[in-house]
Amino acid sequence: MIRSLKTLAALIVLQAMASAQASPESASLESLKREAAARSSEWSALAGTMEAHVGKMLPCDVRVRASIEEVSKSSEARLAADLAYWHAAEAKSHERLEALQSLASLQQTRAAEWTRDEADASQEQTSVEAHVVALKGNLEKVPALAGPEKELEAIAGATQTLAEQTAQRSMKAAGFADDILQSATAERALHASLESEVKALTAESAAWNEYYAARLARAKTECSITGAAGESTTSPAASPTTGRRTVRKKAAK
Amino acid sequence: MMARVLFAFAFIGANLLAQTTATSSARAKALEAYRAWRLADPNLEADAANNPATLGVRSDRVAAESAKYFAAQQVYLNALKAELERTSEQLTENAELPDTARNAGTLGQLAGAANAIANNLGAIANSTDAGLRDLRRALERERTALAAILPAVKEAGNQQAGAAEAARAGVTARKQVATRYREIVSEVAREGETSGKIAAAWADYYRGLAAAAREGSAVSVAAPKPQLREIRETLNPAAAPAPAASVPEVAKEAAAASTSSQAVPLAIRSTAPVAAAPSRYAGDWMYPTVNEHYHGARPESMELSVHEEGGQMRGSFHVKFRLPPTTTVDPIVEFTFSGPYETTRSQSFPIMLPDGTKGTFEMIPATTFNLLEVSFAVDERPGKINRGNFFIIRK
Repeated sequence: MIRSLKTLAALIVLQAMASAQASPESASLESLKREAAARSSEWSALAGTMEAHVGKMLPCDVRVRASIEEVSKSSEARLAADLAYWHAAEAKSHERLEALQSLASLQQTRAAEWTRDEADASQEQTSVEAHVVALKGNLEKVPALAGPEKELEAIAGATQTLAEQTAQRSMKAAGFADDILQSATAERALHASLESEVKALTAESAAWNEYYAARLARAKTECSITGAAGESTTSPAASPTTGRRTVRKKAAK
Repeated sequence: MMARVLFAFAFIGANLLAQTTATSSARAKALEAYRAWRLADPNLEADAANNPATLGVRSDRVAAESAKYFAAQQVYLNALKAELERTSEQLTENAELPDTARNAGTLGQLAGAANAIANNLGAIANSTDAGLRDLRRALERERTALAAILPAVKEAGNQQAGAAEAARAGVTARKQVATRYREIVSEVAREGETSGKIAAAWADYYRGLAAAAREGSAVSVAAPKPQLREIRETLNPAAAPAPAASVPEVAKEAAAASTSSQAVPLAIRSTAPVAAAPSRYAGDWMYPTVNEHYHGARPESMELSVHEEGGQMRGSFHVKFRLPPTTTVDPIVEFTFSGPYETTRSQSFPIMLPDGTKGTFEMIPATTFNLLEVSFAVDERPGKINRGNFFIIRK
């Protein structure tokens, strides 16, 4: 009973794995991957031009802050999308791991059944051979049984072939559960890597947040040391790097 | 959303339950059918010479059980094959690898930003202006933040590379398992083919055995076709003599027109002197489709149901005879009967047909428990059959 329940549980997980792979969840993993790539491209484009863009503005231009915040938000979005993808990959790997462990258990059950199938096939072979002997013993009394006796001998031959095939199936099952467990070990290693990746990404995300906070703080400092009364939206027409020049002028004093 | 998840789980559960039931219950049914086949008549071959006359009926019965077993075995093997194929597919499908290309652009961005900060810091390095100290601090904070990103990005990249490698190893391992599953699928398919051939061979064999039985019984019964009643009386003088009713012309015509009148072989009748138990008669009986033994009109089909309770026996009898298409004779005789169980070798009951015609019905045990001889005789009626005598088998 317990074995049957284990088998049932194994099949449930296996089926769940299959359904997860073939169903919308699989498509969702793929779409998460696409989403992460798209957000990453967006951030890459914004971040790559941010400094040049900000450098053309006055230090207290409100667009400086807006530009940095835009890139910062874009960075948060791409890291969140990345994390969502790796979280999903990790969850899927966890499902696969459970499924493989259950499959190993199911295979042990099947292997035991196949050993019994082999014994049954062998017993049937013995039984047919006994029938052949019994029928042969009656040939003298009833010669008309010669035909059936020949047919029965042919059946005995085919039954032997079947017994060999069943034994082959049983033999192939030997050690099979161990192979599945090895596969589970590989999956466990993947799952551990994915968990570490999620942790590393979380740490990376925090580091980027700190960087953009620092960048924003620098912009604020640059504005304050120019002595501007307030933030301006005017962009310097003739001098695209005014902000930085101001810093340099101050540095020269 | 939650409803969709619940529905998905319900679907998975139902799907899986069907899958489990398919293989496990198919295997159990095949085992049960195998036992039924092998226990149906274990001595069939050994008794072939001792009881050739009953061999046909017996081999028919075993053939039916054999066919049931091989059909159940095919169902089991097909279910197993389907389960293994599905598992093999599940192990290999959607084996996607993690994407590891995302870091390439990131590292470039970091290098650019780090250079810019270094330049800015270089420009104000020697300044003693108090305002620029704040700026230097801000730039240094930015540089520290950037410096912290680099190892985090590299660590994430390393973990991704490790995950990709682990994923490749996992895919390889799963593919190997899937390959082994496919090998077993091939074995099961081969077993299915062999089993199908063996099933056909057993069917041929049992047909051959029945045919040989007919030849064998013809040889064993050397006497000319005797009247059934006479044979029974010879074998068992204690049996009550039947009323000497003559066969009416219409029944004679029917009997003559039927394909053949099979001599009832001596070996088919039990010579046991003792009375058989009520259970020997109780049950549902039918007319065999092969290896028939009848006297007079040839039955086409027959249903007999016998019950016993508290020493009282009752039953219903329905027979349809095989008559020439041109005849106007009614091919059906049916009646019910009841009476006390007698400790005699056979059981005899008075009967009354639906039209009020009276007669007698007798059941005589044959050599094996699943074989029974029945005989009825009623008063003569125009256009009706008034006698019948044949062997029947237990359903």
